[in-house]
Amino acid sequence: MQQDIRDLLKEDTHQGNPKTKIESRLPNGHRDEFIKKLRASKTNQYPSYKLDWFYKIAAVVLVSISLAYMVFNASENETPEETVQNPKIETQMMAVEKKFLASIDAEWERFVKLTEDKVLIDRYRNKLNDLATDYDQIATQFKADPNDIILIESLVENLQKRLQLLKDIQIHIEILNQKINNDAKLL
Amino acid sequence: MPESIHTLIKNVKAGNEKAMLKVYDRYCEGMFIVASRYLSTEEAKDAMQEGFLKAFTKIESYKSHSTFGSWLKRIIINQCVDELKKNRLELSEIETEHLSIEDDNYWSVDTRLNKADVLMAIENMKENHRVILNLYLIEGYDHQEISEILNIPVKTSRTRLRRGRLQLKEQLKQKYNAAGY
Repeated sequence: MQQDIRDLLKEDTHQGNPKTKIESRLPNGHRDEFIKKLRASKTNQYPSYKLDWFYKIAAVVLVSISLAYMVFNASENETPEETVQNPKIETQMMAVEKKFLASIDAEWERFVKLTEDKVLIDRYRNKLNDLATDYDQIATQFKADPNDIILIESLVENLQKRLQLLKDIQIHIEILNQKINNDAKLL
Repeated sequence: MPESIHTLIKNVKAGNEKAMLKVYDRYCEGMFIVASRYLSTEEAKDAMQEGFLKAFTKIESYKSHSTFGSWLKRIIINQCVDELKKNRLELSEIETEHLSIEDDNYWSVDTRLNKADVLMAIENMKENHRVILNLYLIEGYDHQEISEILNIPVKTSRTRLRRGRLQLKEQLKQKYNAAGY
């Protein structure tokens, strides 16, 4: 009598011969070991989330500053306080901007390290450069006329656009990571 | 009541360590058994744990069109195959044989053999045969999937499986004879 091996293997696993490795047990302490590995890997594992949150908070801060500024302008038209308020907004704006730019740079370097695709790098470099040029132009106008709400909004928008771009890069990095993993398998 | 895997995955996506450990606790035994089919105990444990870490890193790419278990298993099998390749698995095989049409009868063996006999025989086979037989017979992957996992053309996968199958039947025949049937 003949039977099909494939059907035979579909039977319940538990009747397996105890001599087979199927019955082998996980080594003791595997859980603690895993916790260690998990924590060790974690430090580099979720930076994108933290950055994401940072940008979200930064954007919210910027929007609220500009809103507060708008309300302040509307209710207390041309008060002497305004001259005190303006430099404050400028400094706050600059501080947030500085953090933004530093993170963008860091993220950029990480991205370049991860890929050898020159076309991709150039495309993102151009996108970032264009936005940076725009930003500089708006910033110059903003310094000349700190009362212009539209300029503040444009600056916020520009930073938000770069935020979006960074998200795109991160998606690319993810895809690249998978590609690198697959390539490693080829070796 | 245990949390649903759906909830756990959501928390894993948010970077929650407790959820990751719960997923680990829930799946480690089963995944270890899978990994043990390819590697020795210690290596299997490491590959399994690496697989979990990898799965958590790319949890965003998990889509619920497959079950989480099978998604995870695939990652862990890939990890095992990587490990085998790193260590010793012969990758390049020159194809000298012509492609033959797979016939379902090729898998038939004597009914007096049981599942344990087959598993034992597979386990004792040469590594390249063992891997392909595991992937096909035990994990139930098709040639397309096997070709992706081993990074070989589908045609090679078929050829290798055929060789593995012939070897397996040979082994089983020997066992059958040795047992004095």
